[in-house]
Amino acid sequence: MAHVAGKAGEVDNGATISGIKSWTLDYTVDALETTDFADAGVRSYIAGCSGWSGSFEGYKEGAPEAIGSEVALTLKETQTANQCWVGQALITGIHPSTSFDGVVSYSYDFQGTAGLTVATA
Amino acid sequence: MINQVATALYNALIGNAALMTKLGGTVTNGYKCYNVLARQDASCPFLTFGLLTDVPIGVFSNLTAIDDSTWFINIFSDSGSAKEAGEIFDLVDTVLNDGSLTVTGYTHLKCVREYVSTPIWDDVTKVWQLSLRYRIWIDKD
Repeated sequence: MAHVAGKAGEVDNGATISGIKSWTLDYTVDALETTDFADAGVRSYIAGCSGWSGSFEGYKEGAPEAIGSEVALTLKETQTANQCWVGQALITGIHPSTSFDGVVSYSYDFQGTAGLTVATA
Repeated sequence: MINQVATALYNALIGNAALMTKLGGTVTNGYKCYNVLARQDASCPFLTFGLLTDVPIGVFSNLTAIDDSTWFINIFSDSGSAKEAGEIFDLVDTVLNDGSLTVTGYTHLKCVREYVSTPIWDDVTKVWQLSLRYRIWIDKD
């Protein structure tokens, strides 16, 4: 399979968020332990609840995004259709950063609040 | 990017009256501020400037949104000591260190000095050289 460059990624919360240069998503499911005597010393699990959260970051371009609001979040790997992860999310944090020799940066945390549509391409 | 910043540097340097007086810069001698190479009839003192490195800083929507570049300035003096080169350095630094450049097509972010060399004496030409390096960030409009 061909590799895919991340250069055309995007974070969209109804409109493209400007200045973003990377995003990270953690989509996980709880592993509920079901080990019993019959497992003969090998732990066993079943899937529990799933959830997703993550962060995105970039350089300041205008006013920061608001926190505490739920948005329709689209995390695009590329501009190709279906190479994206989509769901409702709560913006839970913002982390501004400024240094004398750097560019003013913002990073954001989000928490998924509903199902996540997984990239299919 | 190179020519736009070079023009901005040139305009900033020749726009400083004290520096022009020190160099003896006039329109006839190109204000003794030369892009990379000095003209063959250049007489000391004079300076040259040019691009050293350029590394773009990108975001998703623009892979080269910001240019992080370094520029050299070489000061040449044939006075009896390194003193004159040091005086010219002070004047150049007044203009450029934390200075503001007008770069066509870009928004200036910063211009700061990050290096000054040991004065170099060339025993053949009897000329002192002082090398400076400035870091310049510009944001594409």
